[in-house]
Amino acid sequence: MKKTGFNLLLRSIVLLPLFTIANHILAAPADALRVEYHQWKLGKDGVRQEMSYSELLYRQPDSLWIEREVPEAAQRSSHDEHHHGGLGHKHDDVTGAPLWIVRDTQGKLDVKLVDRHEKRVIEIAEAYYANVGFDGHWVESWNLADPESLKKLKPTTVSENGLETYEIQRGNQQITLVWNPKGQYAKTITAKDSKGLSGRTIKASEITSPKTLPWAQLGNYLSRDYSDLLD
Amino acid sequence: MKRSFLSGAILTCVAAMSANTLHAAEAKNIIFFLGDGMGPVTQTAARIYAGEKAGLAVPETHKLAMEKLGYAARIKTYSEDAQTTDSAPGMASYITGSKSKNEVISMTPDTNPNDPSGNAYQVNGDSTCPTTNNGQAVETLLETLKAKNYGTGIVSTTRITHATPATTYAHICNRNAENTIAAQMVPNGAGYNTRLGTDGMDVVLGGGRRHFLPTTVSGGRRTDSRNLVEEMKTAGYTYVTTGTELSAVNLATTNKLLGLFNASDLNYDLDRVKSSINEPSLADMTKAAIQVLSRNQTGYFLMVEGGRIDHALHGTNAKRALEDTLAFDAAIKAAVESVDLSNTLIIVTADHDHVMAFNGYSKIGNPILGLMRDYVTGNTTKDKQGKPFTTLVFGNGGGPREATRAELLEADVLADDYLQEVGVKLGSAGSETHGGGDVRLTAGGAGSQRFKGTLNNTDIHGLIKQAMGL
Ligand SMILES: [Zn+2]
Repeated sequence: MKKTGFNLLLRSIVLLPLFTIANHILAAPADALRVEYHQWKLGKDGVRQEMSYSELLYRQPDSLWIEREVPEAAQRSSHDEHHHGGLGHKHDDVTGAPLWIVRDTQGKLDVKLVDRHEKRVIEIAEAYYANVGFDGHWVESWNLADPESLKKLKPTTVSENGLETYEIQRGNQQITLVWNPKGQYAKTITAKDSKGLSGRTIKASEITSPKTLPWAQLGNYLSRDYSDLLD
Repeated sequence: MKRSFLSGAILTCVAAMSANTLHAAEAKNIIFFLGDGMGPVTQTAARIYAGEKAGLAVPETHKLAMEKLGYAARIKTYSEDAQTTDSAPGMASYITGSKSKNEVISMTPDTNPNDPSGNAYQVNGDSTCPTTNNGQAVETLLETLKAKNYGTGIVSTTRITHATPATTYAHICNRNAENTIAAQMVPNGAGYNTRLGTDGMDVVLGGGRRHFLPTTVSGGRRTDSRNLVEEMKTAGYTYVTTGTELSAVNLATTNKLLGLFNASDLNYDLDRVKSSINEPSLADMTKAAIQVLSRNQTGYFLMVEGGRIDHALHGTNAKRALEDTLAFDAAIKAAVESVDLSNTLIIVTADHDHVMAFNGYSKIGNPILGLMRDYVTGNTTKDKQGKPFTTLVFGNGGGPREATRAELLEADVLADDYLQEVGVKLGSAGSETHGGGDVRLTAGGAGSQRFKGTLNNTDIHGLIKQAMGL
C-alpha cells in the first residue's frame, strides 16, 4: 500500500518536465481562469455599440484550452436544420468551438479545434490560425499579456497581495493592466481611447479546474484537419 | 418535284457536312484552366496586386497572362437546383455540357447527393449512393477524348479527388465520397471507371494521398484496406510525392505519371514559397503534364485547377487568395509559352464567383490589400464609427472569434493572416459563401474565336467539341 503510493509519487515526479517542477516550487500559476471580455464604441451617429463574451481557460505549462461560454439557448439553435454527413459536410458549424493548443519543447505549437457535436478533433495548420481566431501567440494567449514585456516596465503601484498595476500609453490608447505575478495572468486590462469614443476591458478570475481536463476526454474523437471544413 | 426535293436534301446535307469540316480539328489539344472561385473581383484585385509586385507606376494597367488571351466571354454559373453553384456542378457543366444539382459529380440533372431527409449519400468518404433510381453518369470531355486515343491529364492544387478534378474522370452522386472517387481512376481495380480505357489517365498531379491509402497507414482514410498508390504503380504509373521528386522524373520517357504531394490539399502558394515547402508549383506541374501529354500524336486534354483560390476566399483571407491566383496565372503563362497555339486551345475560367467586393473610392495606385485612401485627399477613408477600412471586403463570412474589430492599421491589413471584414456574419471558420454572379472566361489559340458573348456554362462543352472537330 505504502509502496504503491511512493511509486505513484515517484512516477509523477519523473514524468514532470524540469521547468514544471521549478514552476511548482516557485509559484503555482492559476490552472483555470474565467475571462470576461467587454468592448464598446461610440459612432459619429451617436450610436453606442457594446459587445461582451466570456471564455474559460484551462492552463497547463504546455497545454492551453480556450472555450467560449455559449449559453444553452444560443447553442445549436439551428441544430434541427443541420445535416449530418460524416466527413466533409461543407461548412460544418464549429462556431465557438473550443481551441486546444499544445506547445512542444522547441516551442512549436499544435493547434486543434474541438468539434464536440461531430466528435472530431480538427488539426489547424498555421495558415488557418486566423480562421479559428488564434493569433499564433502562445504567451499572450496563455497569460493574457506578455510577462517579458511587462518586466521592461515599472509598475505604478504594487498592492499588498502583490498585484502589480501598469499604466501604458499606446497610440491614443490609455491602457491600465493589473498583473498577478503569482497566478501568472493579467487580472484586468482596461483600454480607453483619449477621445472617449471606444474602450475595452478584459477581466480574469481564477476558477476551480475540472477533475478531468477537457483534453483528456477526446479518446473516441475522429482526427480531422481544416481541409475537412472546406468544400 | 421529287427530284428537286431529293437534290435539295442532298445539297443541305453537303452544306452541313462542309460546315462540320470547316470546324474540324482546328484544335488538336485542349488545356482547360479552372480557377476555383476566381470571380471577376478576385481577378481584378490579383491583376493590381501583380502590378504592384512588378513595381509598375500604375499597377492598375497590368495585364495577367489570362487576360492576354484574345477572346472573352461572360459565363452564367447557376446549377440545376441552386442560383449559386458549388464546384461539383460548376465544373461538371463545362466538362459534360449538362447541369446537375449541387454536390453531384458528372451525373444527370435528376441525381440527388442526399437522401430525402437530407443525409448525405456518403459516410467518411465512402459512397452510399443508391445504384438505381438516382441518375446516370454523363460522359465527360476527358472520357470522349480518351476513347479517341487522346492523351489525358489532370493537375490540381487541391486533393485530386476533390470536386473540380473529379468531374473530369469520375461519376458519383456526392462529391464528398472521395475514397470512392479515387478508386474510379485506378485502371482495372474494383470501382474503376471503364470509360477511362484499359490504361487510365496519363498524368495525375495534385494532393489527396489520404484517399489512396488505407487507414492502417498514417494519414490514410481508405476504409477498404486497399492501397491505391501501390495499385497505380502496378498499373504502370511512375509515382512521386515531392517537388524534388517531380523535377527528377525523366519526362521524355515517362508515359504514366502520378504525383500526390500532400495528404490533403497542397499548401497555399504563399506558404509554399515562404516556408520552402517541398511541393511543386502549379506552373511546375502544368509544364510536366504538357511535356508528357504532348507526345501523343492524336492530341491531348489537360485540365489544370487553381483550386485553393476558393479556399482562401472561404476564409476571407484576400492575400492568400490573390497569391494563389497569381500562381494560377503563372501556370497559364507557362502553358502559353510551351505549346503551339496554332493547334492548341487554351481556356481559362472559373466555376463560380465569391462574395468579395471592391470598395470605392481609393486613389490610383493604392495598395489593393491596404486601407482605403481617398482619391482626392489621399487620406484614409473612415466609416461612420470613424474607423478606417480596407478596399477589399466580403459580403459574408466567418471570421475570428473576437467579434468586433479594433482600429485597423495598414501593417495589420497587409499581414499574411489578415482576414477581411465581412457584412453578414456567418460565424464558423471558412464559411464565406460562393457568389451567384457571372464569371469571366478567356480563350486563346486554335478555335478560340467562338468563345464570346454571354454564355451558359453548359455551352462551353459543345464549343470545345466544335473547336476540336468532334
Ligand atoms: Zn468553395
